[in-house]
Parts: sequence; structure tokens; C-alpha cells
Amino acid sequence: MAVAPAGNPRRADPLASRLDRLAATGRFHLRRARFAREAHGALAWAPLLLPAGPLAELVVRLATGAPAPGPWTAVGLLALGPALLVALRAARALAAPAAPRRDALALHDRNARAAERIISADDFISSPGLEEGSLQGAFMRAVVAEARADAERALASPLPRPPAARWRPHPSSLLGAAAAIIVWWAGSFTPATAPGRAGDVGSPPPTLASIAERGKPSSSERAPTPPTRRETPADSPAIPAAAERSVSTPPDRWQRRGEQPMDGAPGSGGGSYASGANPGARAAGVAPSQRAAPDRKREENRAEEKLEDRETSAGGRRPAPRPRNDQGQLAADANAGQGRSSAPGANLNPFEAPEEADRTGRGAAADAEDNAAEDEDEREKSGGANRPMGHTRDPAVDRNLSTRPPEDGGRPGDGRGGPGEIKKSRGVPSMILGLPLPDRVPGTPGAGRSKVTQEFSRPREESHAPVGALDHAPRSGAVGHLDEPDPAPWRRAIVENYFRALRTRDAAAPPR
Amino acid sequence: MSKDAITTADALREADRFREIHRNIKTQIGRVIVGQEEVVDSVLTALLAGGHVLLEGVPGLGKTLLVRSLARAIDARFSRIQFTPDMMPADIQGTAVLVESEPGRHELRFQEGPLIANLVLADEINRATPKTQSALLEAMQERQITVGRRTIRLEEPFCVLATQNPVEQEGTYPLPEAQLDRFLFKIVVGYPREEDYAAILDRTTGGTEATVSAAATGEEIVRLRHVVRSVPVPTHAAEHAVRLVMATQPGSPYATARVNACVALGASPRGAQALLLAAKVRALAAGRHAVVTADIRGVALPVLRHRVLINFQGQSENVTDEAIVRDVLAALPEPAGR
Repeated sequence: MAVAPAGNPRRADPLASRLDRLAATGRFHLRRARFAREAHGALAWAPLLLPAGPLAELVVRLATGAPAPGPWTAVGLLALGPALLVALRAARALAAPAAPRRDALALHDRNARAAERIISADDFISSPGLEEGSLQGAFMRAVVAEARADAERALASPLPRPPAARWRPHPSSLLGAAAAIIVWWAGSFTPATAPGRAGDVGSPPPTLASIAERGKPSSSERAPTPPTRRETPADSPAIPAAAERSVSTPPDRWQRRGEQPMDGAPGSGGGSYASGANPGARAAGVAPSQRAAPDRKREENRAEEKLEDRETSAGGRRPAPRPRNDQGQLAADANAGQGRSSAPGANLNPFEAPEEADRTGRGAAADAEDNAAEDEDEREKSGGANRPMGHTRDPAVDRNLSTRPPEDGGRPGDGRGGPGEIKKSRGVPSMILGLPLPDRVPGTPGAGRSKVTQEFSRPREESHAPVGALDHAPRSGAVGHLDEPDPAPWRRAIVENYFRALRTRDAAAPPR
Repeated sequence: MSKDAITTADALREADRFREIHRNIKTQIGRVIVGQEEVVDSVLTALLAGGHVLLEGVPGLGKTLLVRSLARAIDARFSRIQFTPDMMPADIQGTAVLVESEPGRHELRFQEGPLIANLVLADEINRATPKTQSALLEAMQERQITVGRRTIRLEEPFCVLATQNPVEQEGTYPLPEAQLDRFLFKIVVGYPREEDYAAILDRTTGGTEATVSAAATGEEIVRLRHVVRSVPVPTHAAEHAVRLVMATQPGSPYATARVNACVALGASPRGAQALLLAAKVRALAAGRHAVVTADIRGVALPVLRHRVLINFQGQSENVTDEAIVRDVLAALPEPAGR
């Protein structure tokens, strides 16, 4: 609410000064009520801070070895937290901005049952419309006049004190009291509570040997620190030799393929090699970013396999079994099983294969041979639909259009190659069966010719009387009311002059 | 100072005259209408504030009788329009008809519609098509009607009192928001109290018929409207009205959680104007010379209830516009009540 400026003559109005006094007392009352509310709130939560002082004292005592406090000091420490809370809330209440003038006057308005006349008068008394002679200004003056008696009555009747709220601690603040008891109880068992220095309680008197022992490094300092995940396994002699082999193999393999080996960096998941844990744990330890590595390896193996197949088909013979070591065989098993869960080694991780072989120590070479044969059969069986000649273990048909038999004594091209009546084909069309199939498309194929009938007819004349334009009567007048605006003065003058001139000429003309 | 004293005395005299006429009109209407004091008060408030009233209630509650009695009490031209779905704007505004001026000659003359009156009872307004409902817009807001090239200023006091039946919704056209906003009040007419039934039956089924005599004229009503507009509004009361209106708008700083969740559209600034105008009438009728927040809160419900549009969530939760306004009133305390 705007207060009239100092130069305003309304300042001389006694009502203005009364309103100022009412506003001041109302603000004081509001501030006191706020202070009381803050204090009450602080006291409700104060028990929660009971253990703050003893806890701080206990920490200090444990750190510095100070003696236990006396009873009065303990009581003071107990009251320290609540006192701080009350002080903070009180400071906040004091630092709060003053209540609006309108709120302060509203208190008196309600107290004096003035029906907002005091607030309205405070608004109108500084309004410029008060001096106006309008009806609104008169109503404002009427309100101000009515408010004089209300202001007097409000000044005479002091504001009621806010009802004293009963102190009721917050239920959760009772935990603070319990915590204070626990802290006090715990403090009684600390070494500082007993006479003497901290650390002397409960221990035998120091001897020369023990004093001398204090000067030596402790057992924990002497003991070698266990290898961390960042350390390489070679630095730790406690790791078994088998684990050392398994650890040293993968980086060699990675380097051979020209890829980055997995190190034991934190978060990379490659630390599972160094730990020598079980394969499942290692698989779980591989980071998602590095799970792309097997994919890259599969891509490479697939490319190599395609290249070998192409060489084989070009030579027209079955490729000789490749010499495979344990590692390569298991890796091939893993690759052969891509997309076919029934293939042996399909569930094997290529990164795990060398470790499994090394760890088992069985006849890996024999097993690899068996696995290779089974895998080859499986591949040919499953690929039979796409490769008709695969299940017979025969080489693919000759597609080089040569009529001569192959040099290695194999079968010549079986009709699909060479000059002949049989159509030669290659590529995807060669895989399509050329069997004649009946047309099973529903419909009426060959329904016959469509019949077109033409009928000739001449347009027939019809006579009709012509419509004459004169049958419609012309419009005789305007429809509705048309305004006749008054002519402009200059137009009226022209018309007047014209007729005057006309009459003058007619009068001047000789009679016929 | 003498000028001030005279003007103040005039203002007080005008205020006394206002209260006297207000009381006399209520007395005359009370001879016919039994009970429904709040409805009568609201209709009178809207009439003196220069607004229009939408009366909502089931048939048989005396809405038409109330309007007819009010027209007689203020000695004003009264017309009743029974809205039907086939009614056209020309049926209520008027139209040019071909009349015979002389033997053999015809001319077009404007035939005034029933809208040209002081008190217009638009009975079952929601049965008319939106086209016809929209024909009322200009009359209610601009106090004029335009037919062709002819614009007719409506004679003051002009007040439209429309009724609608909340039950029968089949074949009706709900009033659009723009039309609803033109009504100062939406008054829900309820059933009379038990103790009022005896008087109602006695007056309507007996041998004597209650009559209403004029307690004021149209000119006096216009003059009282001028007095109403002169009532000052202190800043705190105006702020309270603005906050009440803003509290109905979702997303505003004064909107409650329920408003934000269930209201699609809140009251417009026209709602704040309506609040102050109606509060001025209420203050004068109560013998006050300035508006207080109690006056604004007293008229908040009929002023704001039809300006609040409930969204789908609110409709699904059966939240009414009246509940929203009551919620807003509870959330915004009076200045002296803090």
C-alpha cells in the first residue's frame, strides 16, 4: 500500500498519522508472531539435535585424546545443538522483511471489526481521486470519514497476543534424544573416559620390547601387497604357471592379428585374463565395447572361408583338410557354429577356446579332427537346400564352359557347361529348378473375345417456342428505400446557377 | 470544501436511493416468488450491474415467472423468446417485410424482433442453433443489433435473461464459450425449501392472484447503474479479484493443483470485470461505500462458474466447475483473514 508522500497535504490529516501508528503496531505484532512461530518450530525439532554436541565432543576427544568432560560440560554440550537451532530460527525471523502495511492494517481491521474500512481508507487517503468532485471521489471520502471512528477504536483496542502454543516435540525428534543417550553411553566406553592417555586403557603396561616393536614397520607394511588389477600377472610370482600361460596367450594372438590386445585397464573388462577366473566370469567381465572384437573376428573368419571356397570351386576339387592346431580348430568350431546352435562349438567363445584347450590338457588334436569332420557334415547337411551337390560331397558343377574333363580326373560338367542343347546357366538361375509347373492362378484365362455391339440412332428434333425478352417487364423503380443524400454546397451552387441562367435566358429570349 | 460536502452528501443520498429501490424491487418480486432469495438477489445484481443472466434449472422452478415479475417491477418492456432448433436470427432480431403502403404500391419495412425490448427472456436458449445463438452476441455485448444495413441501438436498460435445462441435452446446442462469457452470472436455480412449498401452493392454486406493481422505472435503473460504477474499489480488493480470476487459469501462480489438473480454460479478464461490477452492487446493497473482498467472494461463484472449462480428466473425475471455484476460494484467503 502506497503511503502518501511527505508533501501530500493528506499527511496533515490526523487519520493518516493514526493509520501509521496502526501499521507500526501491526507490523510489530506480526514480527512477534513470526518470532514465536519460529521459536516454537525450533523447539519442536530441538531434541533431534541433542546428540550433536556430545557427538562433536566425542569425535574431538577421540582425535586429540582429551579427557572426558565434566557433568556440567556434558549438560552444556547436550544443549548446544538445540540452542544453535533456536538461535538460527530466531535470527531468520529477525532478518525477515517487515510485513506489508496492508497486512498490518488488516490485523487491526479485523480486531476492530471495521469491515476493511481501515485498509480501504489507507488506500483512498493517498489516492488522487479523493479530491475529485466525482461521485467516486465522494464515495472515497465517505469511506475515509467512516474509517476515522474505526481507527480510533482500533488504536484503543490492543491487538490480542497470539495464543501460546504448547511445546510438543516432533515425534521424529525423539530419536535425537535416543541418539544422545547412545552417544553418551558410547563415550563412556572410549579410552578417554579412563584416567590416563588414550590407548592405555585395557592394554598391559608398555615394555621395552613393545616399545622397540613400535619402531619397526608393521606386519602389514612388510607383507607384499596383493597384486592389483592394474598390475601385470608377470609381476606377481604367486600366480600359477598355467594361469601365466593363459594370460600370455591372448595378447600374442591379438598382436598376430594386428589388433589391440585387451589390457587390464579398469573398466575394460580385460582384467579377467589376469585374474584367471572361470570362463563364465570372464565372459561377463567383457565390456560391451570389447564385445565387438569377436564380431570382427567372425567377419574375418567368414571372409577367409569364402576365399577358400572360391579357390576350391575354381580348382574343381575338394579342398584338402587344412592343418589345424588346437587353437585354430576350436576357433573354427566357434565360427562354424555361427547362426546354428546345433553345430559343435557353436556356444564357444573364440576368446575362451585356447584357454579351455590348455586347461584341459586332453588330446586336443584328436578331438579337433572329430569336431572338424562333424562340423563339415553338419555344414553340408544344413546347406543342402542351397547347394544341391553339397550333400554328395561332390565338387560343384563346372561353370567355365569347358567341354573337356577336369585335369584332376573329376567328373566333367554335367550338362550345364559346354556347347550343347542344354541351357548353360550360372549364378543364381542355375540353382532354380526348371520344372514346368501348372498354372494355378485362379481366374478365367482365355475367356474369349469381348463382344461389342453398336447401335446407331439419330438425334430427334423437338420444337419449342422461343422465349422473348420482352415478356419480362422492365424494372419500374428502385427496390427498397434509397437514401437521397443532400448535395454538396458546390454542387448545389452549380445547379442553382444553371437554372437561374436558364430562366434568365428564357426570359430574355423573344417570344415566338 | 463546500463542493466536497455536497458531493459527499449526494453520494450518500444516491446510495440510500439505491438501497431503497433495491429493497422495493425485491419486495415486489417476493410477492410472487417464494423463496429463492439468492436467485432474486443475483438477478437484481446482474440487472443493476448491467449484465445478463443465464438461469439454469429444471422446469417448474419459476424462472419465467421470476423474469416476468422483474419486468413488471421495473416497468420495462418485456419480451419472451422460446428458442427452438428451427429458429433463425431474423426471428429474434427482426427483418424487412413487404407491406402495402398505398394501393398498388409496396415497400419494405423493418419489423422489429422480440430482441428489441428491455428485458428479454430467452427461454431454453440451448435449443437454438449456434447461428441463432450468435445473433444474441452483438445485442448482449454491444447493445445493438444489425440487420442488413440497419443498426438499431437497444434501449437501456437492456438485459437478457436466458434459461436452459441442464437435464435434457438431446437435441440441444450447448452455448459456446464466447456466448457464455457474455453472461455476467450463471445462476443455478434449485428446488425450493420445504417450508416454501406451502406458500407457493397457496399463492398459485388459490383464488387470489398476486400482482406485482412497478417499483422503479427503466430510467431509474439506468441511473442506478451509473451510481454502481462510481463505487470505488480499494487496491487490495481489486488484487483479490484478479487473483481469483487468475487462480482459475491453469498454469498461473495462484492456480491450485486441482485447477492445473482438471481445468482446460480459466476465466478471462471479462471475468474480473464482472467480479468487480457485481461486487459493487453487492457493496451498495449492503450499505457500504466501497468494495470489500467479502463482496467479491460473495459473487465469485455465479460469476466464475460458467467461465471455467473442465478438461477431459476433470470430466472423468466428475469435477464440476462449481467445485473448482469453491476450491479456488478456499485457496485464496481474504487479506484480513491471514
